[in-house]
Amino acid sequence: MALESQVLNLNKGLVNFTHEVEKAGGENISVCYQCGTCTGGCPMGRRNALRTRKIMRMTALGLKDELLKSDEIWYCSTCYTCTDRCPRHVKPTDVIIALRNMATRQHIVPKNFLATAGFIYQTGHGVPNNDANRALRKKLGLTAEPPTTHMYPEYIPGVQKILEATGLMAIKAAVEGGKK
Amino acid sequence: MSETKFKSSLFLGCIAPNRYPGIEASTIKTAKNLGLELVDLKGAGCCPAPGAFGSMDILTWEALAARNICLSEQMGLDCSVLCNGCYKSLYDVNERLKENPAEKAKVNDLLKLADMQFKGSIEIRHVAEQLYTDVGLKKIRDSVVQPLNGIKVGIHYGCHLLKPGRDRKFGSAAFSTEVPTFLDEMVEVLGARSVNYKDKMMCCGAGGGVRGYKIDFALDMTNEKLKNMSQVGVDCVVDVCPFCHLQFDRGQLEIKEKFGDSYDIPVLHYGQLLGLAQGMSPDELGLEAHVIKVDSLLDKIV
Ligand code: SF4
Ligand code: SF4
Repeated sequence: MALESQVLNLNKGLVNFTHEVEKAGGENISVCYQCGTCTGGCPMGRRNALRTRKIMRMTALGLKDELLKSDEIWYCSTCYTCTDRCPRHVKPTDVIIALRNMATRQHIVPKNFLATAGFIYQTGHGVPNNDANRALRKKLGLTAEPPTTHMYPEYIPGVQKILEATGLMAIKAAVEGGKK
Repeated sequence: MSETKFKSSLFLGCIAPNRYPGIEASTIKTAKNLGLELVDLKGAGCCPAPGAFGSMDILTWEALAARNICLSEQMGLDCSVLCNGCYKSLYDVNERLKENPAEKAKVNDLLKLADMQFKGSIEIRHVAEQLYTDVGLKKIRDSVVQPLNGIKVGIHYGCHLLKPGRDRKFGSAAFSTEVPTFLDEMVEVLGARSVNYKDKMMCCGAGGGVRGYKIDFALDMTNEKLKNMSQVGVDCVVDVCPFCHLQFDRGQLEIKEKFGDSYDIPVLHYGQLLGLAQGMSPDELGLEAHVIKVDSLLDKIV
């Protein structure tokens, strides 16, 4: 859903939502004075519909559903340019990350993010080793498997227990097995 | 070559050891020549990727990053990383947990499941930052046996080493977020030339999970950076992050397929450029794993 095409309906605003985002790392949202510095410097917004200033305003207005269902919150490359330049010390990047966390808990999350979680669950690595790479490692005088969870798989159960305890694997199972 | 002065654990992350092992090998060998001993961090895993994991669940991101930090704490060593994304995960989580007891308690509850406890006893460093700050330009210059003959380098700093600036404590203008100079200086002492180009500080496009989510957006940004670099005639791109590295190297193939734009600009991690200047052979630096062949560059050097 494109945020740009929407007419904001303030009656749908949720104050609690704004506080929730602030607590989750998006501090100072309420002092955003809509100068547009964040959008102006955003390299992603040059080539897609991401409008950082608008996301900050919508968050301050508590427009939860519109935000969590929008594609745009996933367009941010987390380059932190907006956060570094914001004259009001709002942290737009962290606001966007907080929104993504909330969307994930509603099972709105890109499949490739979940796939990365799956690789880490199985191997400890988001990008695991392969045969061509093993051969090159040996040629370079390195061990075929790096001295990570690849060489010491006894560390993988610890990783798996953490991923299960935070509920992320349940979300993954629900999203991948469910309607989406 | 040099007496060992500094010792830290080396956090490898995923892309360097599993896709570009030349980054790992060259970083270890060149650092050793400069008195920096990098020790295996046994059992480490994914940092985890800040874009994917931080975005899904901050607490999971913190706990898995803290697990890696604990491994280095157990060795009693500070931890060095060779990737900007890994740096963000490990540095930010280390600082957050040191500063916030409530968050630390939550993470330690999870770490019990892996029989670990986060103490907050070490520092997280980026190898490039250590080379500049601890080793120093003079020593880097003294290690050069094959000066790089003024080759033109397009430097890509990457985002997560420097930004957000307020959370970093480098304390030197060379690490400014808008006009950093430390990498330019480190490239130039090797005899190469860092050439300025339009939007030099722009992101590679891959971060935040965008490479996986909407690769066209990610490549569009990479394409713009490559276009800007090719306009000033760079001989290679130099980065300090394996993820940016992958985006610029593999990305050139993907850009050609998707948009028809062709550049053929070799991409080197700083460890590999330093390795060439220290006289290592291309074979020792794992350059053969690169999608974009580096021969044009090597011809200019030797
Ligand atoms: S730069 Fe800061 S104050 Fe200005 S619009 Fe963006 S978030 Fe608001
Ligand atoms: S962090 Fe995200 S929103 Fe902010 S400038 Fe970078 S891409 Fe744009």
